[in-house]
Amino acid sequence: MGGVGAIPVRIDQALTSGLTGNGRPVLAELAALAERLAVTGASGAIDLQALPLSPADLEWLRETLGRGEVSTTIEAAGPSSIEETGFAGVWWITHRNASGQIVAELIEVATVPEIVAATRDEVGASAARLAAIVGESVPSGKETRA
Amino acid sequence: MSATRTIGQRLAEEGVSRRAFLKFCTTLASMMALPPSMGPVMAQAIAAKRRPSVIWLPFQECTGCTESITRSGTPTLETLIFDLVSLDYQETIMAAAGHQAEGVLAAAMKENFGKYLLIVDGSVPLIEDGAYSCIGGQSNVAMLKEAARGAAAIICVGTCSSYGGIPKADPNPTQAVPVSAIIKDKPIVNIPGCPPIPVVITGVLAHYLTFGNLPELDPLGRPKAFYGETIHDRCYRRPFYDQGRFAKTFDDEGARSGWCLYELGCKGPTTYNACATVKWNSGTSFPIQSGHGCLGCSEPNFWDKGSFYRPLATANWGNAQTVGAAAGVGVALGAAAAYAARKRQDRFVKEASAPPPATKQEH
Repeated sequence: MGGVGAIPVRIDQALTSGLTGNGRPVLAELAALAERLAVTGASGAIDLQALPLSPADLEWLRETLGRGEVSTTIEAAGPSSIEETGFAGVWWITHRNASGQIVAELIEVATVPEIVAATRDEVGASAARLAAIVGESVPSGKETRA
Repeated sequence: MSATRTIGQRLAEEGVSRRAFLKFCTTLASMMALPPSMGPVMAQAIAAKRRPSVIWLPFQECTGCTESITRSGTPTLETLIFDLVSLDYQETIMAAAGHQAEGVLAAAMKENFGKYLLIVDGSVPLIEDGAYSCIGGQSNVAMLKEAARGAAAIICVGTCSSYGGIPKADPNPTQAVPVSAIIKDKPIVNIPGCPPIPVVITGVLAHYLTFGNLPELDPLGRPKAFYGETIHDRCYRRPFYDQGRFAKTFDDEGARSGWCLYELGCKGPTTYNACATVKWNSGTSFPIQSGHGCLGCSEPNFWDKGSFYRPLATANWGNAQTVGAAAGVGVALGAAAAYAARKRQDRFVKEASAPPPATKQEH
């Protein structure tokens, strides 16, 4: 048995791909979000899955935005990639599930994307855990871990 | 006592990080057509809440709805539903049985009276005082009335509890009815589908936890966020429909080229559900993508509306006008979809910024 791939169904690419022109308004919205972030400090985001964008549109957007210096991978219920675009503060975020499928894709306009920065609560818990290690460590020079 | 911990604390204990949960809420927000800024808002609101008590009653059903949720590809984000609620009674997956199980049910209803969510799958038979479906000697109809009394809201999972489903199909030997035919004084959300999409149930619960009320419903009681558009509106084969390219048989050149299945009986144009966007089996595909037309399983009386293989125009689905209207809407697909999404967003944003009102049904 050849599996699903052996079934001769093909999709007419010309009809389901190609530029729709829907990418350009996304740039306008990004410009507005960037200006708001610069002036007020308020971050924002665009849900790319909520827009009628073809694969070609998405590719065009990525090319137009370019690549920046920062890229991060988060392992949380599947991998997420966070990549700075060529525009500081404009981040391309792709969330995938454990089997690698894209579950959400967005562009976030923020100094640091919300999902990356640790929260004060989390840092508080870290402080307590570190203090506990300091409290129980033996001055032998050997590394001890909780 | 475990009931005093917040959902956030429970998630942390089970190794679900803040980032994983934020990702889950971002995904849900996207599926519910909420603005992306609502993802973090949902994550924060839900993490701070305690889990609501949920009682799940199975009536005349095939257990397919339970299968749909419990086997939605574990471990996936959908299964987080079991961390969001305290599922106090669910016959199929609970360990208790017999008198012990019925004791758990009575205790949960008493302890959380007025606050628990009641989930029902399966229709309710009325003939012979409901004798055709009983649990522990009690008829479904009696059990439903008793459980509904203390429920904050009722969530009907599947087409049977929503609209009667297959038990209600002609000639309806048990005189099966949906929950809404019996309970008139409680807010009811219908999540039809045979079975329904698992993440829709999670979405409704997440909405309830975030906003403290039920999501906006369509005239058939379905959450608009998931049932706002037809399968046809969001179908990837839509361009072929618009160009008049139809498969005529299941093995012709058109079928092989992935053309529109309208003439082979696809009920996509009159069926409101999210299969075309959310898909099935961890996002693998949905019936049309597998080469078969939509059966219309999330619509009332789908079983009795003529052949699954006759095109809509000749089957008993509304009249030519309905179909024509459905077809016309899709011509400006992008604009229409964007407009609908925008309308929903505005509403959700308003709800989110307002103080949480009491549970209520909205129209």
